[in-house]
Amino acid sequence: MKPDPHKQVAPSGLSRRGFLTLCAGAGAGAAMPWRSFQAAERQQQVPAHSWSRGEVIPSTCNMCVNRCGIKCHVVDGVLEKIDGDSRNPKTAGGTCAKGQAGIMALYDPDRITHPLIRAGKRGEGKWRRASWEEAFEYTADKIDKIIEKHGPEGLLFSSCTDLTEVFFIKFGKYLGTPNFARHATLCLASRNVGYFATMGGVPDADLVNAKYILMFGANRMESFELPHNRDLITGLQNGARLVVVDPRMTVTASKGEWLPIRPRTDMALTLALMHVLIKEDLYDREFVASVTTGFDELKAHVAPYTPEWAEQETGISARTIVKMAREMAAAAPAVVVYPGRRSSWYTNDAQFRRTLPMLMALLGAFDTRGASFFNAGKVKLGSFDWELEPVEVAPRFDGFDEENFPLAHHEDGGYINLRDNILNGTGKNPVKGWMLYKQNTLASVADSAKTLRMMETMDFICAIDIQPSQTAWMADIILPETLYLERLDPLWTPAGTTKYVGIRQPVVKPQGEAKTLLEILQGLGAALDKRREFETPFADVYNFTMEDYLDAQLKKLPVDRVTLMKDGLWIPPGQGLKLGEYRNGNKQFKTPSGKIEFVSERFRRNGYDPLPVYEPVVEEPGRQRLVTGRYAWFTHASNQNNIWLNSLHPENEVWINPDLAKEKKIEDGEYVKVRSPVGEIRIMAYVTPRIRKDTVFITHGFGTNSAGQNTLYGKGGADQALMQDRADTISNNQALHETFVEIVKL
Amino acid sequence: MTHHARKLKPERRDFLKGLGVASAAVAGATTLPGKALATVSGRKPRYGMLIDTRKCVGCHACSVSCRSENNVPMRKHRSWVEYVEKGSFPDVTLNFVPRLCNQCSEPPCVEACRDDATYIREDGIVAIDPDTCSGCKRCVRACPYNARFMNPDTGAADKCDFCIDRLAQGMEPACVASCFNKARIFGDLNDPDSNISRMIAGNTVSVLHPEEETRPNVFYIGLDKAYEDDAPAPESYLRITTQRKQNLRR
Repeated sequence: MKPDPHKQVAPSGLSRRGFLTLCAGAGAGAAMPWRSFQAAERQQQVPAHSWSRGEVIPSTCNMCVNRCGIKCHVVDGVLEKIDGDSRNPKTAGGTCAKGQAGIMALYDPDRITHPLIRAGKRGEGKWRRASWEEAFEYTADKIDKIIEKHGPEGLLFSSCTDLTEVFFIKFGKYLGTPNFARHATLCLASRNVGYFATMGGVPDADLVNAKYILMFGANRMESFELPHNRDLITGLQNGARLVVVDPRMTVTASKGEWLPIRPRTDMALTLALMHVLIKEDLYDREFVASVTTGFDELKAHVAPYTPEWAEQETGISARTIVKMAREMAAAAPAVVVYPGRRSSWYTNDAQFRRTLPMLMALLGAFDTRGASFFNAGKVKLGSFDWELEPVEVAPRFDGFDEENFPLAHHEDGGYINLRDNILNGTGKNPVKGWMLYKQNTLASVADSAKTLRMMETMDFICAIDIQPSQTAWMADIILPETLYLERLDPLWTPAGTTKYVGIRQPVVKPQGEAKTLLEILQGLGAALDKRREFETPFADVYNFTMEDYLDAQLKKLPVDRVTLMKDGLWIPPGQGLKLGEYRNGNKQFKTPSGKIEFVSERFRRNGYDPLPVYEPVVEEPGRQRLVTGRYAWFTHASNQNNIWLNSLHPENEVWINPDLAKEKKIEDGEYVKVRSPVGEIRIMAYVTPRIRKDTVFITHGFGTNSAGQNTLYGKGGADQALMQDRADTISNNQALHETFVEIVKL
Repeated sequence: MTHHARKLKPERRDFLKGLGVASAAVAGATTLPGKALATVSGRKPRYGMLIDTRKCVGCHACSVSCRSENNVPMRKHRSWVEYVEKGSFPDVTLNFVPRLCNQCSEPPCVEACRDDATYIREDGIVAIDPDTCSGCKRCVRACPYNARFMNPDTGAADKCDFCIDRLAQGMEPACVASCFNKARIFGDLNDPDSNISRMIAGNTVSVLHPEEETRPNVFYIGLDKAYEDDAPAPESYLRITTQRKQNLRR
């Protein structure tokens, strides 16, 4: 049966129905408070849930970025249950807590289901309901005025990775702005830069057959990346050894051997491991000779990085380091040196990431069973023929370009220097209008007070979202998008060992007046057409349906849209991955030399250290380094307000080592103050031996400023309020673990 | 200190071998998990679950899947997960124990029920008829696994029933289906060829609270690892956390 949110008990103990009554009573004025909008239509009696009724529709999950295959049980137009799709090669039938809670995202009483225009001060929480027509006119008017005054460069487009994101970015491009900011520089940009420079790509990992798996911080058991989390469990069952290097004992670390490293010294460990492999002649001579360049320089470079030296830096004993190197060499080539995913840790992250494929190459642990490998790529989808006239585009306002960041992916932008440029006015064209799609910047970027100051400088902020996120709450207008369960999206095909094409399709009708992103952009485009002259009117550029788009994608494939909608996925014949092509020289790496480069030519050319040089860590006595990470039931800062997921973990805590707690006389479960140079929060202490004494951990997504998030509001503390704004110097990936905080007993 | 975690003495294979012998007399029914009550030979299945804690990562997919499938009211739990944290830095262990009704063959709840509202089905599942239940809570108190609760929507006692409705459709219970690490195996304990029977025969398994002599049909691999040394020295540390409540013991 459809879960009745009104029956769900709010964490405060007040029932949801009671809460609604209160809100409705208080909100009689023109500017009504949040809750009074939501409502009565959702109260309905539903029959008892039974699988004997209704239909099962296959689709693709969107509760995180993995896009697992799901089967949705719909009865009388109500989504009653989500199961995993066992035919999906990535997920093999499993789902996670988040995937299960998609139903609660759909029927979330806090969901925005019609356009809202701000009726009070920004962030005050006073909104008025608007028709879509008014919303489009209002937004188009603001955009028009900004372009009139500042040119299209006065607009910033921010979005998060999704299948529909392309429509949003095309819209910005067609308006003529060069200013985009995407998810990558909040996440994995430094890893990508390090790996691409060294070996021309980020490899996949054969975790099922590996004998030794070394992970730095990667937390596959809580931060899922399918099928790696499942494969890792299988690998462990097959007898693999798992060593997890992390100042905090994650669930992943608990499944293997935990090496609680002193934070920011990871590179000392990788350099010392390479030192031992070379010194003891344990490296794979044949692989090094045939597939790599720069070995002699590497040998000289790592000579001073002895295990004894590394012990001083990392806190991991020299004996352990030597033992690790020997054990890895013994297991080679069935060794996985795992690349990791979110690498927004430190300001030297791209250089550190480079040492991982270097270590991998010394072990010859590539392109063979049980090792890293480049997977078979994706199914080649047809591309949709956009009738887009080329628009002349000004340079980015923030200097995130070829000249300043030659190796970075410039279209991804980078919030840290972007925000500084807006605030300091150093950019050529100050950004005055901000279009947000599914992006919660206020919760995702370090130093949220600074983000708020940036928002104050904006003339107009428009958020396209499904919920009143922290950022949407500060916007001038919120345009409600459909949830993934209500819409047809562009097809997707993952890179993996089994190629397939997956479809995301509507399983229920949209709640309220929510529109798809494409419909929103079409409406907004038409309103803009009335105000400005474009070479081709938006009405023509966006003159297509999602079905047209899918048909174009499927043009050259032997499967049609209707079949795909029925089956949920299409697995092409002729799968199979051939290993050994790189080892035998048939395939070249996408690096300047065509080989794995110990000495990076790309880094050298662009003025970076061509071999990773260790920077000693500077710590602040009496303070702890703040690190962040995930629990298995939350994604980024997106679903902490989901009633089912929130009930698993109503508020976040600061993890404190018992020795530190003793010194500070802090008891487990007690509220403490955490103070950094840029912010201060109140948060519950979780005293646990699963973390080093010099480190504290706070998970992400709490401490919301949005009173529209009724389940979450008032709970926990915001890590990003404490974090200082640092970024990796090469990739411009933000560096979230560079802040020292003080724990203060209240 | 949680009642259910104390003094757990996992019994090893011997216990199960005994069980296997005892059940051999009724063995032979071949069923796919959930191919429900109509068995090929006419013999009745006895449903059970095996949870491999080595594969469990405490992700709560089961917890939420169960809530969704059975519309479990907020703050009530048919399915929950214990996080068991032990040791002192850096020698710490973290283990997970997914919990549910143990579907006992000798269920104290059935004995405690005066209304005959809770009963053992022919397939071994302990079920509740909410319409017959008077809401006296005796069964809630009687359960040594703390698996029962009063459902505020129905006013009746409630707990896991292995997703009877899904079984009727030939589907696995929701928690089993959602577990992407396949840490849960569901099947017919009366069928020696079923996956669950073979896994139980081939591994060291244990049950919760064997001293209660309830003969649970929910078995665990690796439970000893989670709960071993459950007699901590004064300075050592044990914390058992669930989404139901937190308990800390030093």
